[in-house]
Amino acid sequence: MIISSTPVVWRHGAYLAQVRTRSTNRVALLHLDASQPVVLEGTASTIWDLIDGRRTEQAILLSLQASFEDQAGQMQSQVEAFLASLAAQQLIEPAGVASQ
Amino acid sequence: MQKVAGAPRAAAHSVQVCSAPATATALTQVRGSCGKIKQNLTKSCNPIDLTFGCVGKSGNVATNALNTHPVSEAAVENFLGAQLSEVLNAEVTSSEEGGFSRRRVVKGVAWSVPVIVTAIAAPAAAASGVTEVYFPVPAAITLSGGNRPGTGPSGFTIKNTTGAQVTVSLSGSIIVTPTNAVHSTIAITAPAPSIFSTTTFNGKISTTTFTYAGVVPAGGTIHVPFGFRNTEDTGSNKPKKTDVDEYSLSMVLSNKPLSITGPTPSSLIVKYQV
Repeated sequence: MIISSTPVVWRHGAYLAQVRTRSTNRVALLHLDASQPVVLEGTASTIWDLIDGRRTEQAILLSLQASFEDQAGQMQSQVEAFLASLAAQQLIEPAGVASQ
Repeated sequence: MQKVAGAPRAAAHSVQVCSAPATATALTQVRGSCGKIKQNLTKSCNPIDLTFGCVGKSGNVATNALNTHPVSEAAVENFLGAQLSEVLNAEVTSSEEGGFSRRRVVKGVAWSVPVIVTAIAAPAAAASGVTEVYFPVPAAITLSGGNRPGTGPSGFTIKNTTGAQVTVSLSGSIIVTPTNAVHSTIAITAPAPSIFSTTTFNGKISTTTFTYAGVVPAGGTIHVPFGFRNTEDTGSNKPKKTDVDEYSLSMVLSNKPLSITGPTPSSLIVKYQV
């Protein structure tokens, strides 16, 4: 198990509207400066739920590793890339850096 | 003691936990090792047996899975925590007996790449503004059929006059019509893979159909090249070296976004001086 050493904590963006359906594990997001919404489903939605302003990236990854079978071993890089994409679209923002 | 029907689908491990809400430490242990759970949690008073999928190692399903007691859903939720429960419910096997739901937690959900899906498609060309299709200014050409020189457009150009990328889908035909007494029929040719399909002739008038689809960047142009092939008359109509044939080149668009304006006709001249 490879865990990132960067203790970044993420939270949902401040200027964000979201609508979600629990039954289909789907969340729609719209940043107030964006022209169109985006939708997160499946693992993307699960990660969104784990972003709470308290969990570090490592904690999010640990939760996912405990819950999903990642036979290809790509989970960490994919989660990091996904978080980076969310941050690039201002859907999440750093809540701080946790002390190690 | 009430036994829960239904065989588990994956390796399971029976443990005893206190009915009080579990601590974060206990939750971590559940995720880490089935063996550790049993050692650490069986001390609790008023124990409740739970059967969990064994995380990270196999378990003896036949032995462990049926050695269970019913527990309330609240106890499960307290023990697991709402967050983990939410994630794992998709793979939980529930069995309703006596009005409660018993759940087994297994790590078996296949991981898939998380992606951000754009909810609304990019606007199509029809809604993007004006795009022009035109023939470039005629320049020197060589007609491949008789190796004749001349002048004509080198193809047609699609110009995106908007500030956004445009996806263009066009179909129609290019018509070559003589404007004087000509000595050749002219067909459109193009390098492979060609967007042009069939050429039909009506006397000396040719009609070549085409279908084009492509993306034009914001403010940019795409040039679709084509050439010409001439089939000259023979016998008494055979062209002389002094003959100059003139044609009009036009395009008819049968399928195009409303915002696209078609080209004005161009000219094609064939010289037979060589």
